Amino acid sequence: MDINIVFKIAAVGILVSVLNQVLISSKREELAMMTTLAGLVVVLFWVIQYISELFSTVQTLFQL
Amino acid sequence: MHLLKIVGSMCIICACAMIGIYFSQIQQIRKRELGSIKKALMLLKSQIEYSCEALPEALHSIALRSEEPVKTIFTNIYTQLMMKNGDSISQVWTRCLKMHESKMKLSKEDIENIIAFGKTLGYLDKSQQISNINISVDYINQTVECIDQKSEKDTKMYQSLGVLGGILLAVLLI
Repeated sequence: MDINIVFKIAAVGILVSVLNQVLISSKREELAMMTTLAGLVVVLFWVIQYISELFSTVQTLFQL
Repeated sequence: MHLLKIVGSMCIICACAMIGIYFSQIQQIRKRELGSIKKALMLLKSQIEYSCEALPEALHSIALRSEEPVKTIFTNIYTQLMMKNGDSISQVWTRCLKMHESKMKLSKEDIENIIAFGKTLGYLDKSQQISNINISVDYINQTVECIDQKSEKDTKMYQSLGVLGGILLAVLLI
């Protein structure tokens, strides 16, 4: 697994949380919510292949 | 390769920051335009009240004293009125404002209000005209006050959104 993805996810997490704070402080809660959701979806897209790899490894481990 | 990535990221961040700054300036430009329209309306009021000039001449002399975009709009209205092709003042006023709408940063509500004012131009007597101008000036004052209250917060928000959005985009693309 590429270690870079961990740093990328960390960077996205930090930026999304700061954006969230900025938007909440200017009374745009709904936009803050959308930003958080967008960040979550992007990160999910990145990690989904690793999750599926994990599941297939577990399957082969227990020979299901 | 790494250098290219860094330069690209810098470009993205700078571009997004500039977009943020542009959006933060829109309200200030709108305020300035409303101010120049207010000035023109006050001049029109004094032209009607004291010098009792005909509307085309009054608009022309205001155009000479005003700054952009009021200058162009009023000059346009004046030339169209002087063509004397049978259009009423409200038709000419509406047409000219709609023509310049895209060049100004005014909101739809502002434009509608100014068009509504144009529809009452040349209607009934002098005092009616002056009270109509006062109504429009009141609207502009209220809007400018509203912009002042909102602008400080919005300016900061748009600027930080621009920079942070740029960094986010750069991280996503690397």
